[in-house]
Amino acid sequence: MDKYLLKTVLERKEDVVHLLFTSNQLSIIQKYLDKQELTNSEKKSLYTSIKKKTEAIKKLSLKKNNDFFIRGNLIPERVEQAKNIIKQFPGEKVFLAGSFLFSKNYDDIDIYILKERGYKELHKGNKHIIYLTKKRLKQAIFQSTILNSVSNYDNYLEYNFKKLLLNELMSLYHEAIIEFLEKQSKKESLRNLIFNYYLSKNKLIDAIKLKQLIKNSSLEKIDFYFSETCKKFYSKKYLYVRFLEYANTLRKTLKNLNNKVHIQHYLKLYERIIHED
Amino acid sequence: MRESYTKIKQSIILLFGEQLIFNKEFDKYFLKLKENMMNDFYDWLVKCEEGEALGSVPPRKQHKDLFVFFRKIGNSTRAILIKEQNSSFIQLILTNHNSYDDKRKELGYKKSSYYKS
Repeated sequence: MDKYLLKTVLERKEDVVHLLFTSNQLSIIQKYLDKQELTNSEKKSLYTSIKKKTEAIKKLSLKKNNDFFIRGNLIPERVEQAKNIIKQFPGEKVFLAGSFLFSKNYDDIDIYILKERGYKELHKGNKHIIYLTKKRLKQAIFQSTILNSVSNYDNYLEYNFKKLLLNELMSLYHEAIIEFLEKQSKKESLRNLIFNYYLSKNKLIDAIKLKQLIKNSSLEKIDFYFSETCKKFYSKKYLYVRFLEYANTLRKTLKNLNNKVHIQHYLKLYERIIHED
Repeated sequence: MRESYTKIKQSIILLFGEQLIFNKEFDKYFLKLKENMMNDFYDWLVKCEEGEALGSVPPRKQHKDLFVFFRKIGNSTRAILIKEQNSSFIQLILTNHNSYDDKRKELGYKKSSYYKS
């Protein structure tokens, strides 16, 4: 089942979708997306009438001229350029994604080509060609790029998500704060932190939304993304033990630094989480 | 280029001391940098030495005595500078994404968001 499409159905239930789905069917979709247990009759409804209707919507909405699949709010001229680029790879399963499709300014054109095994990246002029397997394409990061893409095949897959280790989550947070304080142009860690926050909420967000969220970020918001993701993935007790230990290390570190604003900031948040009821 | 490389490498040793260990591939990646990138890189190292650059303590407890600085240089080169807390700088790594990710993983950091990760 295309979960992304089902979510769109629910989001737009007030305008046109109610013409296609009954309120009972909408509540089944909601239950399915919330991973609630479905009764036999609900399952039957989901895999027969709802599935058929969503597949019909998908065919009508995605399959445009010459068998191209277009997802997201893209710049029309760039979509046409993308189609021409895809035609340069006959017989291959290809899709284009990234800022080229939705942003006036872009660094390079990301071209993804599906292959049986291995991973390879090539740079040809402003073209960044990425050869990848179907298995790798299931990673949340790639399924997110697909949300704004032009493809010559239906590239939607159920995404795989592996929660981060607490170490990794903490380092992401630290670097996101550093990127913010240093006003770095490419905030990779912040992007990654926000992406993981939404994944923890079972939501896959696209590059356009990520860009907006990064633009509107603040120190408080970064703290929020981190603390909420931690609370979602780890027990209170585990966080208490790990943060208490790390806060002690940070206190010692503070004595040796000139520029300690970031360390003070981490310490404040760790202490807040430690002392939360 | 080689002249400015030798000059800057000497300045790095003077800045941090003889105990500083460079990774095996340091020269290879350093020589790939454009002259302005080399100078920016050196300026960053000076900031690290003066305690002005923002670094972090590795979240993995076996490395809690270290203080680490990361730097992205262009699209494909990455730098890691490691200091012992209360002591001297011990290692400077200049490398590609793969080795950078391996070192980050070893220290308990999240791998970079580079696709191949």
